[in-house]
Amino acid sequence: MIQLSNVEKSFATRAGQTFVLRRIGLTIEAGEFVTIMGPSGAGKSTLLSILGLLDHDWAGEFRLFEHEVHRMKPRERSDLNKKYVGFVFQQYHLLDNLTVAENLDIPLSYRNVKGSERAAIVADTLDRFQIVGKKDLFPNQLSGGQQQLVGVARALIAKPKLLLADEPTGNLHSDQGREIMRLFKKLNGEGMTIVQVTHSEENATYGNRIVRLRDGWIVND
Amino acid sequence: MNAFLQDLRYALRGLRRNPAFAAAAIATLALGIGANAAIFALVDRVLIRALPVRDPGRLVLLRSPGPRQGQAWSDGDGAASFSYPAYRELRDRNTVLDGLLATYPFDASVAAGGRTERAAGDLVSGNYFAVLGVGSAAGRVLSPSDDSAPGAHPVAVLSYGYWTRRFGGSKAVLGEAISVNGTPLTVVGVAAPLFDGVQAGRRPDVYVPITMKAAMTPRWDALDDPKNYWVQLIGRLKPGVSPSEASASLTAVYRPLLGDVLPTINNWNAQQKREFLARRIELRRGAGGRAVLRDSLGTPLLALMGMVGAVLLIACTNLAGLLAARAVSRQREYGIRVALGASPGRLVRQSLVECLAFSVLGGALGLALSAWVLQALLSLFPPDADLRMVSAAIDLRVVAFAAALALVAGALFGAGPALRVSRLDPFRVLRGRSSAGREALHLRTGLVTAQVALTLVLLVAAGLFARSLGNLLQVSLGFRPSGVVAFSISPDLAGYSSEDTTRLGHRLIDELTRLPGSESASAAAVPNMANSNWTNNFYAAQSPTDVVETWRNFVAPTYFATLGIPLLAGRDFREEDDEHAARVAIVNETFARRFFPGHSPIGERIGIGVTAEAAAIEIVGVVADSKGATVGEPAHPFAYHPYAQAFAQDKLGALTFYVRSTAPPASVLAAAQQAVARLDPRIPVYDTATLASRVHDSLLTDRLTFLLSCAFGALAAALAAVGIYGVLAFSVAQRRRDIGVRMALGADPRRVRRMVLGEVGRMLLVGGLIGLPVAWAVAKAIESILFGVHAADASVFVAGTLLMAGVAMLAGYLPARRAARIDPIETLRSE
Repeated sequence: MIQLSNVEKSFATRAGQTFVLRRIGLTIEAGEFVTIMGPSGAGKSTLLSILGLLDHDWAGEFRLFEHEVHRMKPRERSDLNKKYVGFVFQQYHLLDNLTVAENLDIPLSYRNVKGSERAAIVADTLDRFQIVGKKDLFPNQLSGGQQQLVGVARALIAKPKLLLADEPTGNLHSDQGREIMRLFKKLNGEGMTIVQVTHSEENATYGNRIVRLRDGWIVND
Repeated sequence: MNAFLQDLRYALRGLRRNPAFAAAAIATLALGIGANAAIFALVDRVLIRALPVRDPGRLVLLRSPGPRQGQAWSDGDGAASFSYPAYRELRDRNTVLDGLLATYPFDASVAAGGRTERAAGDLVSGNYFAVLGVGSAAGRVLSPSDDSAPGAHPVAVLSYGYWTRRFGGSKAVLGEAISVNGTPLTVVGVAAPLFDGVQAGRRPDVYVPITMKAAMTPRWDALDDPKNYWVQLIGRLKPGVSPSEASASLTAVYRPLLGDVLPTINNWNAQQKREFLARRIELRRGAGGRAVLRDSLGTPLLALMGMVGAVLLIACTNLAGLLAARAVSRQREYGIRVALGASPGRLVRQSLVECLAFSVLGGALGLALSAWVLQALLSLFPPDADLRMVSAAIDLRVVAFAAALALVAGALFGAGPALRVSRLDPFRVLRGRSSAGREALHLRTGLVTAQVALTLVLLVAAGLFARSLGNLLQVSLGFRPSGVVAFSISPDLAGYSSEDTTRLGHRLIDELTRLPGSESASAAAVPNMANSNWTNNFYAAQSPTDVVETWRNFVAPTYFATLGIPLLAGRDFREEDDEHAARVAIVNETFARRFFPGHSPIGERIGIGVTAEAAAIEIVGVVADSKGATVGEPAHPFAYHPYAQAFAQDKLGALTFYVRSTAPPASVLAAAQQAVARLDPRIPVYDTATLASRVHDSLLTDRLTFLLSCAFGALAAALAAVGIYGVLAFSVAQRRRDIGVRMALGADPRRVRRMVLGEVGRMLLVGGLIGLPVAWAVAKAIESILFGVHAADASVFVAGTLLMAGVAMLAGYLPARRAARIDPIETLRSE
């Protein structure tokens, strides 16, 4: 499903080229639940953003399903992102001005799904995540756990094949964090491929593979 | 569409959630758009709008500049007046026009239904309506057969407005006779509803065949006089004929006519004759009709439009700055949207939709505001002022202009944030590593520098207009307007001859002199401070070929005493200076200096070039120079004649009376009206005013330009101050840590303040380097409408620059003080 080969990312500084990722080679099969770990500055989030097709400025080869991402233009990569990827963020990153239902609607509208169809999908998702009662609330009217639940629901609403999570429980207390991780486990059990970045060894136990990074290198897989 | 509505809904919600920001942005836009729409309503009516006639783009105005001799009437461009015989020849012999019409405006006294009132009349050629392609709302319009012979067709066509106003839109008036200037005319029709004549600012009530001239302007016929220049000509180009081709062809027809006139011209040297014969016909675009108002108000209106446009531009840069700052705080939101799949185009659209929401709301509010601004502007003018007669209103065209302006403004201030959104790096943003704050600061600094430049231009322009008005207010009028009331009557329209008019004048002056509080009373043919004049070519007996265009007036005895014009030598006119006595004149100082340098002109003889008669007029007095038509006019050679000696070609028509009195003006005017009614109840009194108010009104355009330019300058300065404050406050907030570190390292508050104000200094320097040359170019463009001020008036440029610097430093002081009060320990701890 995902194949990275010699992927590198760097930026120029006065001292010369500074590398964030070095010669990354990584294969992830469909249905895996991969955890990327490592100290701060190791390149975890950078790797995640490359996998999520948000970062276009890297070198090497990247295949996603049958697509050769490294040969694609940014616009085509964005289209691929819309087709395959869902994102969950540590800070939830819900849109403050939009209600829960509208936050769920946004990814669908960016994918040009028709209005009537969108309403049905949003209703289904609200029901599936048991947040129907919250649909008209704004993010600041929700607890952290509820916000992250909406964040996960929003990441999944466009039916992605790949769920990427950047410290998904970093801002939650432990009970809420465990609930989210159980949800991830359940989704993985239903066939969803998940890649998460975390510092938490406990969270890593929910997955079936750990990739460790240090100074941009993969040191353990 | 669905997605657009969704974006719009979210945008409106965003406005509701930031009411202070939304209110400030919408109010700024509304002010800018409102002022622009109001000025545009005037510009459109005066300068842009085409006549509501068939294919107005093919209409051309004819003019023929160059020397000429004879009598001329004009209401602005003297070269646009032709003789009626010349008109007939040009109409009949040209091959380049589909038609050539003639028109002449006249004051009408209309009696109908037992009531007499003053109205605006147009003498028009029979083909007038056909050439314009204007039909009738009722009955018929005039046709070429209506001007076939002098006095043969006493008919009239009413304007639609006059028909509905005066006759209630009743068709019963068709076929009925109304009395116009004492002559019964049969109403044959009513012109089409939207048609208001061919001159912006003048709405004729009644159209009369031009061959009825003798009846409409008693004692001034001129239909057969080739040296009497009074008709205004508008032609319709044949399809495919260019204006330059038409000009050449019409000149070829016109020059032989000049050759026919030449033998009747007196006292001209060979050079003058050559120039006369070389006169050509020039064509001006005539789609907007006659250019009287366009010529007099065009430059001030365009200057004001430019200024108010600059204010809007400054408002837009302010909004762009505000939105740039807001966009920084929304970076996270945009980053999330990209991560959720939003394409750059979609984000740009959303950003523009938000700006559109501001634009639409600001535009709508601005439009409402513009109606009020326009009303307030027009109320500054007297009810009969040309500018009020153009019927400027907030109509569909103004709405379209405001809408376009709002959209352009929206695109202008929305472009920056939208562009930045399209270049967003979501990965950096979501991890809090965006450099957008720094970029926004650079953008805002650039915008504010542009604001400083534009504001400087407006302040300099306002300063120039202020200097100009100041100079006008300091002009010595040469007469004392305070305590003088004036009013006019037109005895000629009631059938009076010149001699009858003089007798009536004597009796009325007697009555006015006896009014309580009256110190003196007099009368003159040409009203003072009414932007009108009467000129002829004069010469002195000893040098008949030295002909000088001289202003004239026919005045009653005690005219100079009543107006307060000092008599410097000789004597005033007496009642005995009548048609039986020797012809006499009193001249002004400029006349005396021009014709008789170095010695007294008393007893010298002068003549009028046009009459070929001997220099038979004896100078009996010299008065000080005084202003005649306008405050800003230069000193002209001026010859005054006793009004009892107005005969031959110099016939008296209307008279303006002046009363110097200690009584309240209203009571003097009421008593004067009663006196006129006692002498002849058929004669209406009009143009009643104090002389001081006439002086005031004659400066109205200058006052308005000054007032508006100062208002726009102040608004621009206020907006620039807000912009500077915003940028510096943003800069200080962005650099809080940096400033904290500097203070921890030993920078004292004064140094921090200086550092912040140094940014203001840089903006001022760059803004000044851009703004001052632009201001100079603008000053050159408006120099022609300034009085006694040069474009490169250093004092105005220095004052404008100092004012801008003062405003900028004041605006920068608060953020500088805030920066100087940053607590380094607290700042660094919070980091």
